[in-house]
Parts: sequence; C-alpha cells; structure tokens
Amino acid sequence: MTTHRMIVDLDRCIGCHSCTAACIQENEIDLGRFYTKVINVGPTGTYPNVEEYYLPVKCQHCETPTCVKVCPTGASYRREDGIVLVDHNKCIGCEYCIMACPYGVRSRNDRLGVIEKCTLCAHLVDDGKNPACVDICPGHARIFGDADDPASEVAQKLASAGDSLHRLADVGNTPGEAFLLANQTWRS
Amino acid sequence: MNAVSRRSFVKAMAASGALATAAALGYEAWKPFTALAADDAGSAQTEGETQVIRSACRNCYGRCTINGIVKNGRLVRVEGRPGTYSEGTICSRAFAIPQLVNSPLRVRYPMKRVGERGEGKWERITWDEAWDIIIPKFKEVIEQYGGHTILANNGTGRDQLNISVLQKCFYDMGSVGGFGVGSICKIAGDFVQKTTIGNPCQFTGWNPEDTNLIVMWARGMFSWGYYDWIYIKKALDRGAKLMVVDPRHTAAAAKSTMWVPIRPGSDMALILAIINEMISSGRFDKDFATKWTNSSFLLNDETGLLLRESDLADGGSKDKIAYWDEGTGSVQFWDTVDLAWSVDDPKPALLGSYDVEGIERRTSLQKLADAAAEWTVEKTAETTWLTTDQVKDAIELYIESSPGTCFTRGQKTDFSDNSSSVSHAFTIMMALAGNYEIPGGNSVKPGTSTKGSALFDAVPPKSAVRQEIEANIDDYSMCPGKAQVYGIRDGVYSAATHALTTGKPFQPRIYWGMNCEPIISCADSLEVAEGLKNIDFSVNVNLLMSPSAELADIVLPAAHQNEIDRIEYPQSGHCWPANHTATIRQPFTEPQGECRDEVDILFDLASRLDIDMTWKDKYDWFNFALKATGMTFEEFREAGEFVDEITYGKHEKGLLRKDMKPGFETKTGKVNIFSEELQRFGWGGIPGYREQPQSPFSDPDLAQEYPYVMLTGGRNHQYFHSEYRESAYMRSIRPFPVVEINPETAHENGVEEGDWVCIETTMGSIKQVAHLTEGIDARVVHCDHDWWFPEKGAQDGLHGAFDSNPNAIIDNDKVFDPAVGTDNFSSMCRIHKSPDGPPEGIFTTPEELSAFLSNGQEDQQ
Repeated sequence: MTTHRMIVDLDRCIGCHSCTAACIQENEIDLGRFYTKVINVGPTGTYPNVEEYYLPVKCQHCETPTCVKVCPTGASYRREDGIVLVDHNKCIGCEYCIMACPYGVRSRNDRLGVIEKCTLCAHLVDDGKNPACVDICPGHARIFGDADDPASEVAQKLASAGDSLHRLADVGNTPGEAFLLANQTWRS
Repeated sequence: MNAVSRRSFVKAMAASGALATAAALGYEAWKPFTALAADDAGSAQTEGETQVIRSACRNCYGRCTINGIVKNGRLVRVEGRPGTYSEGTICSRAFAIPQLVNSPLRVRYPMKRVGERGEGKWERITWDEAWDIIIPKFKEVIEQYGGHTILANNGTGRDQLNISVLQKCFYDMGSVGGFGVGSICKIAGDFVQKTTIGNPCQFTGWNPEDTNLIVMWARGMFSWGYYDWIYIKKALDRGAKLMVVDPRHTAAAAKSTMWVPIRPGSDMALILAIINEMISSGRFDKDFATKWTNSSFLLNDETGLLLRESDLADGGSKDKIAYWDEGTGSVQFWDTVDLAWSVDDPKPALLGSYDVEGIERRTSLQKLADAAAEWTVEKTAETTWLTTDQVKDAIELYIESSPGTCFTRGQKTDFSDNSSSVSHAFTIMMALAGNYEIPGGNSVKPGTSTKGSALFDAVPPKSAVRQEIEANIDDYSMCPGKAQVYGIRDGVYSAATHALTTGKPFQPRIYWGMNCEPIISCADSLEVAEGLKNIDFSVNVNLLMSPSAELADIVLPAAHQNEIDRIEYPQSGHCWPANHTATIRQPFTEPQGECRDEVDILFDLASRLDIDMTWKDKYDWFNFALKATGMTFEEFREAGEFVDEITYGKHEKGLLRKDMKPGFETKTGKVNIFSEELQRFGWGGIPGYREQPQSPFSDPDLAQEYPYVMLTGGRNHQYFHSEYRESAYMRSIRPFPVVEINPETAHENGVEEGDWVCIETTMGSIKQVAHLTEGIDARVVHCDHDWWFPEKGAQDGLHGAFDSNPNAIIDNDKVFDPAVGTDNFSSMCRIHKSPDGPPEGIFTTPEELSAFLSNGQEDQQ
C-alpha cells in the first residue's frame, strides 16, 4: 500500500508564501483563490514577550473526509493512496463540501462551475514527482512521501515526532496531514 | 499562436465530454490546466518544444538558481534549480518572472514623449531615431555646461554589473553621480568598511557553519536569498544561537534565540554598550587587537589624527605611526608602507596614556574606551527602549559566544545621518571580539577568484575629464565638501534633488535613469518629481512605465534580467557557500520586442560618445573577469557555477592585500579602530552616538503632535523595493501596503485590523492598510515602503506615486552623514482611520488584477 502524506515542519516555515505562489503557477488558480495559504499564528503574548509561527493551511487529505460524505454526486472522493480529489465531470458546484470542510480550504471555480482545492499535485505525484510546493520551499519545511514506507522521510518524521506532532482540529474527519512544532506552543 | 486559448480549450473539452476516457483513469478531470495545456499546445503547434534553461533569478540580490521552462519561445514558468547553494528553493517573487517578462504593461520599443511631462502620451520610434535625439543632446550639454551636469542612476537590483558600467560610462563623461542607490542603501556602509577593514563584509561574509552565534541586525528574515535560512537552521539544530536585533518581530525574530527589539535608530547605543563591556571587563581578543588593529596607535590631539613620526621630529616620516612599546618602554613606530614594526619583538600597549616628549598621548583603543564608557547598561536601556535585562543579555550572549560569532545586517542602519559611524562601530565590535577570518565568523573578502563589478573601477584608464573632476571634486560636486569617503560614486540623492529644484550649486541638465525609481525610493518624492520635471533632457531605460519614466523625453526598452547573459557574483549579502559561489544567469528567451540589455545600451552610448570602455563588449569584459577561474564565459556558461574554497586567516596569509603582504587592505594595513578618514570627513575618528533629528528624544514638542516613530523599509516577501506591483500573483498574495500597529495604539486611534489608515507627518499624508500586531512597540508604526500603483494612469499622480509611499511624507532636508551622504528615512507621525477608504483608482479585487496578466499576444504586436 501507498499512502501519500505531507507534513509541514513549522519550526522551519518562515511564512514566505513561496508555496502559495508555486501552487498558483502549477495549478493556474484564478487570482484571489488559493489551494494553500499561510496564516501567521501570532505574535501571541504581549510585546515584547511574544511567540509567532506560520501555519500553511490547505486540504488535509482526511482519512474520513466530511467533504466526501456530503457530496451529493460522488464528485469528491478519496483515492486509495489517501489523496482526496474532486472529479470535475461529476461536480455540480453545489458547495456542500465547502460548508462541510472544517478548514475552509475549498473554493468554487466560477468559470467552470466546479469546486477546487489542493490535489496534492496528484498529476505530479503520479509522475513520480513531489507536489509543486515541496522542493521550492525555502525552509525545506514541507516533507512529502509514502507514509506506509518505513524508510521514507515522512514515515520516519511521523514515527519520531512524539509531542511535536500536531494536527488541525479533528471533528471526526481524521486529518491525514500533520505539522511538526517543537520550539513553540501549538495554538492552532 | 493557437487561436483557442488554453482555458477555453480545456473548458470546451470538458463540456464536450472529450475527457470522458481520461476521466475513467481516475484523475484527469481535475488535472490542472498546465498539464492539459501541454497537450493543447502540442497538438496545435508543430510539436511544441519545451526547453529547460538553467539560470539565476535576479528578482533580488539572492540570485537563487532557477530553471526557466520555455515553450515555443515563450517563458511559461520557473522552477528552482537544485545542486547549488539555494538547493532548488525559490521564494514567491521568482514566480513573478514570467509575469513581468510577458506583462502587458511592459515597455517593448523605444518611445518619444509627445505630450507634457507626466501626461502619459508617447510615440513609438526606432532605436536609430532615439540615438539621433540622445547623442546630439549629450554632446551639446557636455560642451555648453560640462559633463558634471549629467545625472545618471541605476536601480539597486538591476544589477551590480549594470551599475559599474553605468558609472564608468558617465564618470568618463564628467558626471558626478545622481540619485545614487549609494546614499539610500548599503553601499555607503560598504565604503566605510573599505576604509576601516578593507572590504565590505557586514552583509556578505558570514558563515553559520561552525558558528556559536549568528547575529542578524536590522535584517528581517528573509527578504532576499531565503536559502540563508537553510544554513542558519542547520546551525541552530546543532546548538548555535540566533540573536536578532530589530524593532519588528520579523520571521528572523520568530525563529531567534533572542529577540532584541531596539528602538528605531538607536542601534549605536547597543553597539557601544557591547564595546564598552568588552573593553572594561577585558573580555576581548587582545591578541587580534594588538596584531591586526590600530588599537595601540597613539593619537595626536593637536591634529586630531594619528601621531606620526613627522609630528615628533623634523624629517620624520608621515608613514610611520607612533605606538607605545611596553617591551622597550619607549615610543616606537608602525610603518604603514613596509607594514612593519620598528622593533623585532613589538609589545604594543593597547590601552592607556603615555608620556611622549612631555605630552600625554592616548592609544586609539583608550580613546574609544573613554568614549564608550558612558554607555552603561542603564543608559543604553533608557536610550534603546530595551530593559536593562535585555541589554545585559544581549551583551553577554555576544561576548560569551565570541570568538566564533558571525554577523550580518540589513541596510536599515544605513538609513541614518550617523551611518558611517554605525558601520565603523560594527567593524570594531566584530574585530575586538575576534570574529574575523575564523571558522564561524566573517570572511573579510569572500569569493576572490571571480572579479566582480569593481573591475570597471580598477582596470580601465580614467578619462582626462574624470581625472580633472576627481582631483577637484568640490568644484563639481552637488554637495561640495561632503560625503568624501563615499567620493563621487553615485552621488547623494538629497543633493541631486535640491540641485534639480533650486539650481544650486548648479542646474543639472540631463538625467539618465536605468531601471530605477527615484520618485518612489528617495525621500520627499514630490520634490524629486518636481525636479525631474525641471530637467532639460531625460532618458529612462525601463521595463515598465514607472513614475519617473513618465517624466522622461525618451524611454528605452530594457531587456528583462532573464533575457540576458551575466556572471552572478558572490557579492550579495549571503552566507557560506553562496558568498563564495559565482553562478550563471543566461537568457530564457530572446528579449521581447526591441528590448536590449542595459549593458549593451551603455556600450553603445559610450561608443557614440567616444568613451573608451577598454573592453569591446560585455563578453570581452566577462572573459577578463573570469581569468582567475581559467574559464571563458562560454565555458562558465557550460559549468554553471564556480565555487571558491573558504580560507580562514587570510590577513595572516597576505590574501587580503593587493601587495600580498599580511594585513588588511586599509591605509594602515590594520583594522582601524581609529579611522583617519572618518575623522576628516565624518563625525569623528571613533564612533559616537547621535540621536536622530526627529525622535521623541530630540524633538519632544513635535512628538506632542506626532507621537509615533514612523519606521519604514522593512522587507516583505512579495516585493523588492518598488518592484512587482505589476505582478498579479504578488498582488493577489499581498494586495495592499501594510502599516503595522500595536493593538494598543490602534485602539487609542480608533483603528481596527484591515482598516485603511491615514499616516500623517508634517509633510503630508499617505494611506495604508492596518495590521495590528504585538510584534511592534506601541510607540512605533511600520509602513511598507516604495508602493506605487501601475494600474493608475500617468496623469493620476504618476501612477499613484504619492498615495501610499512613505517617502512622499519624509523630509529630505535633515542632517545627513558627512562621510557618506545618508540620512534618516524615518519621521514622527500620527495615524487615524481613513475617512474615505483606499486611495482612489487602485485595484482592490482579485478580478481587477487580471488586467496585469498576459493574453499571450503582447510580444506579437
């Protein structure tokens, strides 16, 4: 089995939005919509005693995705390798999934009348490549690979992370992606 | 071109069900347009050829290595190029390259102004027609008024080689500079470092490998060359520390071991406090100070300079500097020509005052110690708005970690009327701590094999006119008697502005601007614009119709930096190994329209004015520059990179001086703790504190009405000075200029997150969008710099040049640094919520930004 997973090491992320731009270029996303965004968490505290980290947020490729559950046409689906996608041939743009997604990472392509979101660049992954946001990351913060392969970096990070492993809030969807944050308090 | 656009093609395919078969495979139906477009292009064109061209980015100084993906002769995308210092990483700005190259706003042909200045009316002409207008005008002005009335300017990013060729060409005409980037950026500091340690190394030269501590001073992580973070993180992971001195909680501060949120403009106090503690506690590198600095040199209070043998005896040498030798108990000498002590086993006294023929003479270090003594922890805390604990912790961390601390700074400390002293003080701090030329410290002269932009200063003979002017600079300078350390190099922006508007000390007649934007980047933008309207004749070489281009007579189309050949030198402020690596920048595509490389344009201009450029063209010059590597430019193009080995202790091995003697490339051969150049031309031979002309301390009355310090110039991730406001991607990510305000301050002024805010100084008002953050002191606000709005018309305030740009409300009439001509790009201000929202006519929605996108046809017109 193969489970494609991305984790983001927040101790390495410097909030530069290079991933955002790489994603726009790769996926030719309409201006003003984003598959991935970077949120500044902080500065928390009171000047000058503050902390701050940067949180890239995108589709978490959940194990039991609510977007798939609510989709009336079966357009939203989860591949065997864990990647959650939208089949544009089936999508009617009803936006149920937008409402169901706990992370607000789906948006409607008004030109095509369909819903879009991070595909984990499955077209590249299926070609043996990394998603567009990975290699260019100036912090080497994004780690991608097969979580089922114990030799992969992503599997090893997941295994060794311990308390520094964090996930976005789980409302029954079991987010597939994860974050590493060891040097600061997780506040997301 | 394909008659069907990619998107309409994809849409049509999807609607017709033509993708049904593919959809059965599971994912083609959401395949991004790029993937489908490849098929589209392939079927429509004769086997659409995709080329991957390796090159470097020049969207800032970082010169990250990139690949350009070119299809059918058109740059369609960029990718990171792995295998070099940047490890395949690129920042968001790199993605603006295809957008700018193909931009509908791009200037693609020479143009002649046909309306009033600033009216935005232009007519396309040929290059020959352009030269036929330009050359007679240059000849006439040189003949009638002299070459010194010609101003020339080049933007900071486009690039070091352009700047050196521009200077060679124009200095040989007799020009004395322009709005030079020098007086508004780090080059001023570079010149001070050249006189005090021989080479600029406060930006470049740092080495996180093996370091104990990385000090980033006024340098936000990361605004250029983001790969530095990869090397810093490696250092942090093995236990090194990161100290960030910055008024703002930047990304660097967020990742730091210690954030020192210093009051804007008070940096000198903390540097002197560190120096004071080092000297008074004896915790400094005495061996380095004795052997390699001029700490022990005695001072002559009568001349204000170093004590010379000629001061003590008739017939004594001016080249021999006195020191007190503790071995012999007598005055001895350091020979600055032979670089030798006068006794075999010298024992120079570092500190103290010595009786020399009946007069007490202090050592240079003693003078510094006496001056720095007032910078106690308490006084420093009061001056810098730090707590005494913050000051103590910063001092201790620096001293405890040295030797073995590396240092890099941004250029904000050069935005000061005291910038020469600050540069000097940093040099002293690093030298006394023993942090130069050691592992984990700073290399004084990194990357020595490939010769950079300095070649054009060093090799070609100077014209007779230039020699005459340099010998009598005060007769020709726009600021006579000032900025002597900086020399004529690139001028002083405020002096050029005043000359343009007042005719004093003379009226400039020609302005040649090359990919630069003085209206946006110089203080008092309105006066700069007024001045540029006054000029007799003006040529602007540009990628876009920027505000100052709109005031030109002739606009020449510049090739984009990824349409031309360059050697990218290791001079750009980065750590090992980038600071030892030269890399190739070569064209992705031919220049669009009739755009030309600025260097080619300058060689052409020089040839038409009979200026001897020594080399026949840029390739001739590049081949010369690469000699030490054993490669020609074409071989370098194939190789892609050249990496110099890192060498420590270069001062001991004779690798820093042209004469190959041990020592530093300064007039004394040593690191100058006391600088005679700064004693003559700056505020003094040793660094001292100066309060900024506008601050709550220096002008409490003004602070009653304008209570906040307006800090500007902090970098952000999407823009580089005035650049990329035409990029739809960048503008969609960071749409508006942002003013950072502490929540308490915002609350007091009725401002909430996302409000458009008026920022007012005594000079006027601008608008930016409020971002509330605990990352800034309640007494300080920070404004994004250099904003303009390409979507607005020329007649609309020169493309909105004065709407949001803080330089529009900063005075240029304040005190400036006498050594280097820098001044304070900051002011006191007040804020309130904008009564009428954003500036009129700017893009406020993503849909509007699509006007910045190429339709794929622009270069065909």
